[in-house]
Amino acid sequence: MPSVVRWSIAAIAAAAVVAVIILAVAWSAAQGVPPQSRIPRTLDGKPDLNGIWQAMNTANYDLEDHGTAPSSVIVTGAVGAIFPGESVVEGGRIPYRPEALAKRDGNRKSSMPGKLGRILEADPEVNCFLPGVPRATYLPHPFQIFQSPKVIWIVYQYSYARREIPLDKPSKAPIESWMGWSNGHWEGDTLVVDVTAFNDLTWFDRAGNYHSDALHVIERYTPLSANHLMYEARIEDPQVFTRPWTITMPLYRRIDRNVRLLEFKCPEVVEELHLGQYRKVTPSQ
Amino acid sequence: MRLTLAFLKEQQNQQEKPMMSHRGFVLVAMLALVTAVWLAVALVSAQAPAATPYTPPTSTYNAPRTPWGDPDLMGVWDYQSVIHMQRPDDLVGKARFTDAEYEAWAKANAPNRDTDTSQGVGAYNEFWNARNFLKNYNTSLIVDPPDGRYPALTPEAEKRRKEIVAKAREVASWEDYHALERCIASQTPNAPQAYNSGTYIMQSPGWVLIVRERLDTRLIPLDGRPHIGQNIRHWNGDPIGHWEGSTLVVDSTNFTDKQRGGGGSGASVPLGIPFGNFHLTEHFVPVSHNRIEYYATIDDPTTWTRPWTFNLPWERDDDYRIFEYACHEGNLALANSLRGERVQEAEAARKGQVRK
Repeated sequence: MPSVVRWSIAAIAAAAVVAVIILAVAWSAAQGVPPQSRIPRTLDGKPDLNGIWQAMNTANYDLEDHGTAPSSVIVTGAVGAIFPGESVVEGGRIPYRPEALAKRDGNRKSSMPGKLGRILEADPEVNCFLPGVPRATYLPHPFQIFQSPKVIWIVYQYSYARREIPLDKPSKAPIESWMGWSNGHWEGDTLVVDVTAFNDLTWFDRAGNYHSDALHVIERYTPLSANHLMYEARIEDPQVFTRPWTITMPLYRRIDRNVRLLEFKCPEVVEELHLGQYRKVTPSQ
Repeated sequence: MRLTLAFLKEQQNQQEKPMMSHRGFVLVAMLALVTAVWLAVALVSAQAPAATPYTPPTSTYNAPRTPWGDPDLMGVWDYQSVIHMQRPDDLVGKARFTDAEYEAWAKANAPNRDTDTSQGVGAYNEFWNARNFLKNYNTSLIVDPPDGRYPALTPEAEKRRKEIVAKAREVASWEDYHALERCIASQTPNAPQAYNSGTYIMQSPGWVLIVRERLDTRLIPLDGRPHIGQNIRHWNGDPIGHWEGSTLVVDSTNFTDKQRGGGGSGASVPLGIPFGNFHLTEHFVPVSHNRIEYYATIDDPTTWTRPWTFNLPWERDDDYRIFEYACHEGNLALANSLRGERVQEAEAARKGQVRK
């Protein structure tokens, strides 16, 4: 074999070995490094959840599978249409008791009355009522997490709903409420929030999915990267469901320039709806 | 002044000439106009020297720090006060109480919590209000102007105020009610109220969150960003903040003119004054672990003839847990009140009367 050929074969072999090594290193960097080492942390070593977050899905229309559909208020056209989305429920379907499923279907029929008045059979979002948990998380509005070692506050842009989540001293609710009573703790890099003492007036979505005042929600916020959280909510309510069930969705950090929550004080937005029949002049706004 | 002398000299020169040329006439007229404007400006500024806003004292207390190095004011604060916004007439000329004078005045002016209901119980029975008045030797919350009273309104603002107050009596729509009665917002800045004034200060790197139990939530960025655009208006304004030593300074603009139904519970501003042009500067001055001296300065030359400042002490209350307020969700009073007005109007019309 001429020496030039031998030399060339050796060079090609060496190049191949180098290429394989480089690929192997790159592959292991992509696969082998745990994402937990890339998430931001507070000075006490916990994942840093501070910031403004938002879900990017259509769960607020319906937690379960839902195709495109026209709005029940026909004049709103494509603007008011139901945007399609796949189920965020593990296993796809919510395990209703039979009689509870009938009530859900009734809720769905009355969810958008399309007429004036303070109609309590409507979706609570129509009336600008507080959204409850977990619905606050996937409303089409951002929310902001404020984190300190002892307590976390979450403020939602929708009606400035807000939650105090103590991390050090679990306590019992004095009475039921719309947003429930939250106690939090860390399990590794996951923030776990136990929420109880709900009233029975909130829904999970615009499609009439609902619960009773026996609702118990366990939320889990797990960072995936600096800009992504995985959100899980386990829902337990033996009066309405045959077993506990879970929803899962990613949450995205809003990184828009100077992003901040703006006022969405919706009581003002529904005054004409609720009170229009009792005024005698056209409001200036 | 030089301009005036030059003008007079020019005038003398012109007078010495038998006839004034067209160009000279124009020149004199222009100079006269300039001088008139200059004199007018000088006169106005001599009459109303621009008052400089009040400068709150700096904090001598070195607050503990958060893990990320900001002064740590976190926790629940409350600000019940028996001292009124304005100095009472019988205390004219007296800015401060002695301790004994304060105790006597507070005792005489505390709300009646007697269980004797023969004199009526008011809108809410004071017996049920958990009052914890903070000691404050100032005889008014307003500390500037020094007379402890709101400064005079501009003539236009006074005219507008009267119109709004007169219209509010018509109860023609929800717009004639205080934003609080509509469950939208209280006033920022906030004055004392009978209940639910517990206020949580929460902090995270680059932010301060102020949660008032009753309605209002303020999210205050500390990163030096500008205010939101002029076309976005908020009931509680758009706040941006920074630290000066241990003092939190918050600058708020972008208030909505719809915030105008003052005078009620927690209101720092009287009824009939739209907030649209307010420039609010707040100083949260911690003076001990348990006390913040809160100063709010409002500057709005379209409304008041000078800026003014009130000072309200805040006290830490570790036993106060903020609870959900859920105001709008149960607010049937607004609908019932409006409906009652319409019913009474209809009845009056049926009897051939005009309801006043």
